[in-house]
Amino acid sequence: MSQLTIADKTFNSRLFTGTGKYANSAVMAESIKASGSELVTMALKRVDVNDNQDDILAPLVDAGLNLLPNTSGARNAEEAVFAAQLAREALQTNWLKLEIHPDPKYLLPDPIETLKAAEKLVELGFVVLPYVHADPVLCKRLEEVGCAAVMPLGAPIGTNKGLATHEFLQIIIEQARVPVVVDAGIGAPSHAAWAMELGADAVLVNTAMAVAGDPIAMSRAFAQAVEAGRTAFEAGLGAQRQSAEASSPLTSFLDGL
Amino acid sequence: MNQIEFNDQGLSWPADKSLAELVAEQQSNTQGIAVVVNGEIVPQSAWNERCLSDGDKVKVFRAIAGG
Repeated sequence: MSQLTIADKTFNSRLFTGTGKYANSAVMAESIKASGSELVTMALKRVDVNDNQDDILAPLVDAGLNLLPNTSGARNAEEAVFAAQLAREALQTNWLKLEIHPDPKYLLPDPIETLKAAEKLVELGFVVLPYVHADPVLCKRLEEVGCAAVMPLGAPIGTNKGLATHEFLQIIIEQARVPVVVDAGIGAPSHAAWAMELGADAVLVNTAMAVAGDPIAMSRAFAQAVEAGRTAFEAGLGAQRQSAEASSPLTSFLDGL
Repeated sequence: MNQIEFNDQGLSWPADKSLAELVAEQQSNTQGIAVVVNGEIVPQSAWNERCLSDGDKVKVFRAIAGG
């Protein structure tokens, strides 16, 4: 499996992971380790007075992971730009998962605000990875304003429904000149493998690992699936056909018995 | 003593004590946080130099788990 380069970083693993929804930080850290992931997302929140919760940052930093803060909670471009600056200050990285989803039911990203914010954040020196609907036109526009990658969704966040958008993911992958990271909706290793077979450069998985019966084993399964899918893509999948084509030579050796 | 707001709660704070001291007193873990005073982000490198005026509003943001 080849390495993946996004902006100034090169990754051996094409599986990016989230840190949310784990039972505790120890399971999270073990699970991320089992996944082999080298890039993990984080969110931000306003703290309460004397708010001393489970420290999740220390184990991530100790493990040498690259951090990808998100702008979750931002409802428009202005809020996202501010959240990005907070994230840069808090985590000392200019990498950013730009996400603007004002509707809490489906958490679908707002394309107009996302494009506006992306343009501004690129100007401000961020490495912008925008979370977007699987819209090939929007992905091109984001690429043109300088995003380092695009992160189209497979299905709404946390639904585990897989690649509901696969037809459009294929168009995005075909057209993109920046890496394509399929984000959201990937609920099973088979979904991740499929995304990689389609030619996605990476996938981002959180819920499916964190809420599994055994998150550590599930993370390992995702790592295997991503590697298998990518290896298959690089090997070159056989074309699909409508009618059968024999794998065994069709000779007439049984004729005339 | 100045009256300031820290994360939306009123607080008396000496005029000669720095933002760094305020943060250290209020947060046991200062890793992964960003501090905003009156709507503007104050970089960690400037916390030692920054004192607080009457009416200043300080908000702290922390990196947490997320997808």
